[in-house]
Amino acid sequence: MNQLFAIIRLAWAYLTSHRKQSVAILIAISLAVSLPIVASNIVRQYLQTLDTRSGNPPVMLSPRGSRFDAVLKVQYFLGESLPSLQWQDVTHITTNKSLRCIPVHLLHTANAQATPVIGTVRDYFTVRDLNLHSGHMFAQAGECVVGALVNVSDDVLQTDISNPFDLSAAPPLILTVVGRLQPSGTPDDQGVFVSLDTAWILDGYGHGHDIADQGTAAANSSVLSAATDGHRPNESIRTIDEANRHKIHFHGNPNLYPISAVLIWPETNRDQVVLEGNYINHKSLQVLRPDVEIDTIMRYVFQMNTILQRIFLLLGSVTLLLIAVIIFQSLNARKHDLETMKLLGCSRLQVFKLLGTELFLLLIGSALLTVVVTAALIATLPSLESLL
Amino acid sequence: MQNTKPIIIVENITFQYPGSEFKLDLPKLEVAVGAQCAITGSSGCGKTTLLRLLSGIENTQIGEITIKGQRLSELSNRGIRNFRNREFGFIFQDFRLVEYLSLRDNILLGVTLGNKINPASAIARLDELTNRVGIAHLLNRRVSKLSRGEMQRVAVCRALIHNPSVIFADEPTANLDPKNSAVIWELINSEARSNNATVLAVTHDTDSINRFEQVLDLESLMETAAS
Repeated sequence: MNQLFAIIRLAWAYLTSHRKQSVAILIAISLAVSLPIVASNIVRQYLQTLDTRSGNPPVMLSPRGSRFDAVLKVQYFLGESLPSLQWQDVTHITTNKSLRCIPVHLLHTANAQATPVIGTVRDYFTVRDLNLHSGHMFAQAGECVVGALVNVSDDVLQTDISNPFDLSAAPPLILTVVGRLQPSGTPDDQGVFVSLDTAWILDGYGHGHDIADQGTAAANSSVLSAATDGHRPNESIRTIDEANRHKIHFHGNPNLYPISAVLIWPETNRDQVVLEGNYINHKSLQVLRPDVEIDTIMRYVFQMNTILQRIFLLLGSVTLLLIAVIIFQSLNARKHDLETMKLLGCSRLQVFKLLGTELFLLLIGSALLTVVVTAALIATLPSLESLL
Repeated sequence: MQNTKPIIIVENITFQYPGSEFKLDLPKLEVAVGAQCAITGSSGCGKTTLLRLLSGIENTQIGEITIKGQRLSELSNRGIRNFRNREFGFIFQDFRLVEYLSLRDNILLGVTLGNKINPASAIARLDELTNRVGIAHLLNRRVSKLSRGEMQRVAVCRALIHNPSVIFADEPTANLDPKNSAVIWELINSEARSNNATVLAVTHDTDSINRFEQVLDLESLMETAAS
């Protein structure tokens, strides 16, 4: 036992006296092991996230365009804003009583674009199986419910300026947080939910101001430029409360107000097939199945993952080769010391034990470092969703 | 103290390094138990080679070396290592210390990585030896931070730590000043006397030679053999 400790001490002495070499080997091994683990973890998380709502809803209505972009935006709040359909498209499709339709409006953000603001109806929470952790659902314009992971201070949340280069754009609102959702493990945890009225106020279709403040005519770039009664008040209400809520009003034709997409739950497969048939040749709208689009995305992700793993395997092999070279070189550099041990009559087995112990200590250190690096990377790396 | 029974017996050995002109021929040499012998001779006459042959580091091509009744040629490589580890203490001219190890680990290196020595007794002896040569306070210091004189003392302590039967010293004071040389020789000789160990030391220095009871001039021994 004493001899074992003595050998460990000798091995430790070698490793600490060749600190740079030891640290280089530790880092090389731990990175070669932890990077593939982290990469596959991120991919797995991404696939899990994709999977959470791939078939829910079964179909959705969106403006004609990229099907991937539409699904990623509507289901996961990822990517740039999409073209919108109009409220009249929603009212048209909701006349079909065999379809459960939930409109979503996804044009705005909060917290410096980190948090999507989702304008929708309260049924959204039912179909998504979202429950309140505290507070209550939004009931009026200016109120919001936040996902479990959204940062809020003082129960208010300011939306982002929709276009900082457009002076005629509607000013941001300071939303009152009236409820927080329970964690769901879905992108909804990161969302801020408001009524469609609130979303349209953020668009600029609605606002509140003193009667005397008629401001200026709506600019050409304004969403109200075509509205006969459109104007831009000098000072719009930024925080909607009981005292000023009566001043909120809307301009323009409500049928033309924008909606990003409609989530649809048909009662039967037949209803779904009929719906898809109705829109198959529609000029501006498309019905798409999120699960089909997500399966395609998942296949891409799997392929990417396979490629990544092969790259990491190659890198790992190169790293192992380099470590072997370092060890070989260090043995060469230690020829004199090993010769001295031979001259002193040291047992060949004990010398091998010494070298083995050095390698073992390096591997133990690498394993510990790998655990720390992997945990740190998984905890700190932004998820693939936010990278996208 | 000295016993007339030989501990080292050399019979008709011949050795030549591959590709070298030099050849060591020694017909007979006997060294008694407890003898303190200086081996002299001009540079390149084979003194170091003789020590390497006697300590089993090199193998004779012809002839036989018997130490403490054991014929070295009958031992396997492993057996020679064990025998050397147990019975011999070797002080090298260039010290051959392991630079990254502490003084303590250097002295105990042969014990730690050896097979036959009791580590507990060696550790007890470590204190005794290092105190005696005045390096006990440096035990945890790395060898690379020691002076040459201190390094030589470490090398001597390493050679004596396991109370060897034979101490081989290859010009151990070659690079030391007279004062430090005296300390080293005093230590080697007194330790050998107290353990009845045999000393075979290569040296050129006249002062050092005078410290030995027996002086073997290698060239004379070889010439005698030739004639």
